[in-house]
Formats: sequence, structure tokens, C-alpha cells
Amino acid sequence: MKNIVSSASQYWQLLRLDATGKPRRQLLPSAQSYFQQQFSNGEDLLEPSDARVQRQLWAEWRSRTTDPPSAPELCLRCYISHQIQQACWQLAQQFGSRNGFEVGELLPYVLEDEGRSRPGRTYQPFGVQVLQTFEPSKGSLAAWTIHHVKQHSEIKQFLLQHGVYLISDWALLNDTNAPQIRRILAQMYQLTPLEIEQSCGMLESFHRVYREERRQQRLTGDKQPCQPPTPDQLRRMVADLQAQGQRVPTPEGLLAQLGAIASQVRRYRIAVRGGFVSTVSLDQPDAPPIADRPIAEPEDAGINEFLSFYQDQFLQCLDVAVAQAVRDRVSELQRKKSAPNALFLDALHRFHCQGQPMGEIAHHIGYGYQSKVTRLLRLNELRTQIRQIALAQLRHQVLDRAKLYVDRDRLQSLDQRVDQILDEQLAGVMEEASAESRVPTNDQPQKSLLARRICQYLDTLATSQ
Amino acid sequence: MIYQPFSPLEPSAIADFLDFHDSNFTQTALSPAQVQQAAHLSEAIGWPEQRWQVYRSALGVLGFGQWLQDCAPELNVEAALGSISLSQPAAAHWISAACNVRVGDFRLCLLAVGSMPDETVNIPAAALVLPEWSAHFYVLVEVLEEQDQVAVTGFLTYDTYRQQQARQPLPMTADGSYELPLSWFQADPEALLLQLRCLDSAAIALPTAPTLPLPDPAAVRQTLMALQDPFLQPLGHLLSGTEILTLLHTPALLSWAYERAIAPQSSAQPAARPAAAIPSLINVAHWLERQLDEVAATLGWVLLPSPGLAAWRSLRSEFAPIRTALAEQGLDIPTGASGAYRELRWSDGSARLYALTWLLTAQAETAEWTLLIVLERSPHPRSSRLTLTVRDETQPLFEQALDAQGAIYTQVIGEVGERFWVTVAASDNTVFEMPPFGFEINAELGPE
Repeated sequence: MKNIVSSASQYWQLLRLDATGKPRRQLLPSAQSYFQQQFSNGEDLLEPSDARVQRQLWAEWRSRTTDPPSAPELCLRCYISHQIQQACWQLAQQFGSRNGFEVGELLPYVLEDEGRSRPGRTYQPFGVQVLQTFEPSKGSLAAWTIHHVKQHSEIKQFLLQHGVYLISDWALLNDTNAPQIRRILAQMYQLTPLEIEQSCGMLESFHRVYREERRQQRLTGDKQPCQPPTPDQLRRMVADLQAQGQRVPTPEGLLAQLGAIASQVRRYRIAVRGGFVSTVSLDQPDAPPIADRPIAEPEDAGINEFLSFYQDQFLQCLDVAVAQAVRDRVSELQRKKSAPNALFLDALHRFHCQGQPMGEIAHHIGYGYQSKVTRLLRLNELRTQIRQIALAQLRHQVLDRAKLYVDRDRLQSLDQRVDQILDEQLAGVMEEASAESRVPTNDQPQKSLLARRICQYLDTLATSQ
Repeated sequence: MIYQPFSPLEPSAIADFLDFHDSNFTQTALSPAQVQQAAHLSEAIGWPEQRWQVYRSALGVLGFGQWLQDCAPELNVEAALGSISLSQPAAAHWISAACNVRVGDFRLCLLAVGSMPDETVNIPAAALVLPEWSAHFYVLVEVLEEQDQVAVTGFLTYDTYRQQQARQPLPMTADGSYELPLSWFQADPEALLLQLRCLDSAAIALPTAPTLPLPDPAAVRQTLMALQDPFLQPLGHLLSGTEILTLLHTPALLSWAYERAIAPQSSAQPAARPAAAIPSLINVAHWLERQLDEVAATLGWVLLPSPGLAAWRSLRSEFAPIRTALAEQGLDIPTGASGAYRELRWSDGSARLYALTWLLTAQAETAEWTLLIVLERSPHPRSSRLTLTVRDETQPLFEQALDAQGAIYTQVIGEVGERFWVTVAASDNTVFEMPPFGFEINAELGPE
């Protein structure tokens, strides 16, 4: 049930970003008075459906394209701006916490309409582009807008960098094979065997033509997302279908059919993914490891004995591991050119030595959002690397490895036990001679063993430079 | 904006959001050079449908190697494409899984999967049954080809596989693979890293012999020989599952089958012939010691018996007219010569191919040897034309057709190390291809 007031005001309040990058509503008086005039009967605002409103506004706008923008045009642009925010908000809701980003990071790419005129400039704000390609016959303006936000190349790039990816229809068809499509069409859509075989045939013809060309394109080093099949490719697919003795559509018909198959596959994918696996938010770096890990066995006395016996070696290995893992991460950052080393090391130091929370670190290093810091540090992964490298180093040093390193389950248990130990804050199982340990500063919380070793390493780095 | 067709079939805009693909933390991007490398590797595959599979598999291998390089550079990774099964055209022609990927002491088999969720994982039976194809870890590598991204989504150890298989035996599919339930795989890449880093390779025992009884290679060869130009189809259309295993377990046979498979292409593009990495050569040096080399033996050649044996007399009567005819042409076969023959049969005829060899000069460095090829066809009412072709590494040397009954011959001379390819084609599209003839001293006899 829509709130009439808020929904109507979407047609005269333009959502845009202020100087600090925060979204703000800007009232456009001309749009407001026009809208209220058109869609009220004197006193009360009527309850027109969005579809009716959009049809009318659109028709009005098309009948007179003026500069500065007409009131109907502004109404539509205001509405679009709200849908853009809606789309970004949904993406952030769905993936932001798991993949480390916030809605504010998405908005700048697409919320760029400032309600101004566009005197023949080549680049139009995204909202204007959406409006220019819209027609009421294509469906709702909301769906149209959200669809185009998803297709926006910078949004896609941003999402991809954060591990989220919208696969194109054509890549999807490339990745779907005949047995899969048969199963999907039979189980989910209950198509007849004849219909299934026809779809299968079209998919296989598509594969034979499209995949080879795509592969050859990659030979040249060109990189681009999968494009819709060209008319020439479609003709060859039709010819292939004919050679297979299948029913033969026109090239345009085949394109439509392939698109329909892609839609069917998408809905299957959505249905299959219905329940989301609960995952750890990257904002909680000390959260327990990945859900898939088997439940820890009850205390394995052999493991505690082992670690106790090799305590000194383990601590040495831990320090080696810290140095190596940090170095490896720095190399990776350099290779991927994702962030300057100094920034990474600074953030790492702030977290482990100064105990600063993510938000504060973000502020200090000039990142707008704490999710960005989380993404930079990837603390869970760093912790895992350190732990594993330490265990691998220890293996080289111990004489009797047979027990723990030759049994996968015991190795796993050893790994889990070490994970617990690294978390320990008090001088406990693994605390070494006090001369080596770092005295925590007064107003900082007691740090875990791992944090202290990382901090010690970073300080050594700093002093050696 | 890149235009994607807007389908009015979309149930609602909200539902669109659910179809984003979400890779795990192992997601790694491939460089354009790496993608090109994968595409180049797949170029060598003669069969179009398989090229895409090999290309995708190669992307998976390179991406996996890059991931390890980033997060565990201390592990010795030989994921560069040199030693793996994908780099051997004869194997990759039919098996797109990347086997024999070495990481430290471990052997891995990488299985490329796409973006489509599936409940089972298809794995070639060879990777689970044959020792040389088996692996400590079977790793699922998700390849998002459109975005040049790769992620590690799961793994299965060999001992876990054996346990599961014992509990819930799975049948082999008609095309020589197994469909393993996805639930058998552990979806924890960190556990894989832990084991690669810390586990003793002795913790996972691999088979030392095939874990299934396999049919005899000679029988499999017979089956293949009875087929005509069949090899552009998946193996499963030609052979049973266990026959496929024998083929993959016998390098000489695999090589022979591969040469046959690519023959139609090679006649169109002789320059594009891919070099078979599995060494296959009919080494006639052995023949001079009255021994058949292993490759020729597998392919059904029969050594011409030495004079004095009973067999010689009967064969001599068959070969005698040829010898006389050659002598009339001025070609004398010296007494030190040795040779072998094989039968060729196709839809409407049969023939015998003789290969004789002897040394011209015996000095070790500049030894010259000669190969005499004689093609003799049997009389048959409706026989297609037969063509004999001989070429060396760079160009064709001889080509002649034989329509009716009779014989044609040709002789080539080469130095030690030179090779000659002999092809016999029947006009019903049957082509008899075989590994090249060469003269190698102290060379290994075939693979292994």
C-alpha cells in the first residue's frame, strides 16, 4: 500500500547529492504546482496509479521538448531520482555488509541529475538518459530505472570489485549446458519434451557459433562483456539449426527465443538461491571463522601437549608468519594496484596498535566509508594466512610430525586450537618471557596475542625505515 | 550504456536483484595476457566444441595459480601450463579437466565450473581410476569467463572420494565420467590452503594401479579401427567407459587415436599441425635389430620375419612380386633391410602397407637411413580410390593415387632425427594416420 503523500512527492522532489556527497531532497516548485494541478480535483490529490501518471507526464513531455526543462519532464526526473536511490539501497542491503560497501558509495555514480537544462551537451546525467530511453509501453518507470542502474557500467565495475557481479544473458547462456537446461525446463517450467528439445537445440546452436567467436576474440586480447549475438552470428545459428534438422526460426525470432531462455534460467537461479547462507560481516574482524568449518572436537589433549612442548618454536614461527603474511599482502596490493602500501600499513597499525575502530581509521586515512577500510584490511584473511604459515613453519621445526600433520582431521583441530590461542588476551598458555612482550598502554584494551605480535612487527618496520 | 534487451517477462524489478552472482573471497582477476594464453592453448584442440571447454579450463588453471601466488606465494606452484594434461593435445582433445597440477608435493586436478549452480560435478573417470591421472585434491574452480574472474569454490580429497564411493557407489556415465554430488565437496578454500601448506602428502594415499579392470588395448584399437572417420565425436559415442579408460591409460594408443581424430583437419591445414607432446614415433632403428618398437606393435604392425624362418617363405611369395617389380625399377632391397607391414581395411576394400628400412651410411653422426613405403591393394569389385601421401616436418614429399589392384611405392631418405609422416586415404573419407617414422638411437621407446 503506497503512502500517497510520499509517493506523489517523489514527482516534485529531486533527490540529489550535496557537496559532501550525501543525498538531499530538493523541492522543485514548478514541478510541484504542475503535478498538483494535473492530478487533483481542487482540494484533494487524487490517487492516480503510477502507470497513469507516468503515461500522462510522458505524453505531455514528448509533445513539447523545451529548454529549460518543462514541468512534466522535471516531474519524471524527480521520480527517477528516487528510483535510483531505491535501486542503490537494495543493492547495499543485499550485498553491502557481506561484500563491504555502503549505499553512499554507489550513489555518486548514478545520482547526478541536478534538475538543470541540458543545452546540447553530449553527456547527459544518468537520470536524463533513463528518461530519454523510456516509453510507457515498456513497463513501469521504476522497473525501467532500476534495470538501468544495474546496467550502469560504473556500478557494475564497483560491484565487481566488491565481488558482486551481474552476469549478462549471453554469458549465462554460455555457461548453461544442455543437460542443465533440460532439467530446468522440465522441473521448473514443466515444458513438453518437444519444447524442451527445441530450446536445447537453440542453445546448442548458440554455443557452436557464439562460443567459438568469443574465444577467438579473446585470442586478440580484447576484453569486453558478452554482447548480444550479431545478425551475422544469428544467421549462422539459424543455418546450424537447419543443418541439425531442427525447426528454424528467423534470426530475430531466435534472438528473442534465446533471451527468453536466459530469463527462464535466471528465474531458476533466483529460485535456487532463495535461502541465503548466513555469512560473517566483514565489519567484525574478530568474529568466528567461516561457517563451513567442522565443529571443533572436544579438547584434544595431544594438541595441547604438542603446542606446549613446542611453545618457543611456535612463537618464533608466529613472528615469521606475521612478517611474511604482511609482506605477501603488500605484494598483492602492489600487483593489483588497489591501494598504496603505506595506507594499508597505517590502517593495520591503527587497528592493532592503537585499537582504533574502523570508522575512526577511515577518517584518518581519508576513506569515506568504514566498509572501505574493512575491505582494505581483510583482517580475517590476514589472520588465517598468519595462522597457516605459522603452522607450516612449525612443521619444519618439529621432529615428530607424524601425529598431527599426517592426519587431516587432527591438522584441522590443531588449526582451530591455534586460532583460539591467538585470540587469548591474558598471559596464558602461550605467553612468553615478559622481556619480549609488549606492555599494553594504559587506555587501550588488553590486546590478543596475535594483535600484539602484529603490532610489534609493524613497529619494527617503522623504526627500520 | 550497453543495451541489454529489457524483457517485459521480468516478474518485478525487485526480483532482479537476486540474480547477482556473488563470488567468495578467493575471487581473482585474470590479466588480459593470461586470458590470451588460455585462448592460445585451446587453439591446438582440433574439435570445436572441446576448444571452449579447454579454454575455460585453462582460465581456471591460470586463475588458480594467480590466487595461490597472491595468498600463498611460498607454495611451489607449477600451475603454469607446462606439465598439465591440458597441454597435451592428445589428452586435452577429449578430457578438458586439468590434471597433474603440481603444488608442492601434491597433485591437483582442477575442475572448471561456470556460473550455473548445479547439484553434481562432472569429473572424467580417468581422474579417479587411473593412477597417472589421479590427484590428492580435486578442486572446483568457478570460472566467470565474461569478467575474467576465477574463484575456488570447493575441493575433495582422494581419500574422501574413496570413502564416499564405498558408501554410495556411483555408476560411470556413458561418456566415461562420474557425476559426483556437490555435497561431497568441502566448500572451504581456507581448509584447502591449510592442507596444501601443512599436510604431509602421505596423508592422502593415491592408487598405484587402475582401480577398475580395463579392457586390453589391442581390443580397443580393433574397436576404433572398425569405425570410419568417427573421431570428431565425443569419446562416449565411440567407446564404452572402461574402453575410454584403456585409451587414456595407453599413451601410444591415445596418440594414434588422436592422430586419426585430427586427420581431416590436418589435410586442410598441414602447417597448423599441433605437435603432440606425448612422444609417439615408430622407431625403425629397432626393426634393424629384428624387433618391433612398442608404438608400431600397439598399432598392429607385423614385423617381416627374417629369411630362413617358415613364415618368411609364405610371406616371401606375397612380397616377391613387389621385390621383383622394384628391382625392375632399379631399386634393390639389400639383405640387411628389415621391415614390417600392416593391414588396412575400409568399407569397400583392403590393402597392405609395407615399410622397409635400412641404413645407407653407418657413421654415427651422419648416419643416413631410408624408408621404403609400398602400398599394395587387394582386388575388390567396387573399390574407392586409395591415395598414399608421405611428408616430412615441413612439406609433402609424395602423393599418388591407386585406383585398381596393384601397388605403388615411394622411398625417402633421412638423417637420424628426421621424421616422415605416412598417410593413406580412401575416397570414402577413411584416413589411415599413424605416428611418424623416425630413426632414433637410444631414444625412449614411446612414452613412459
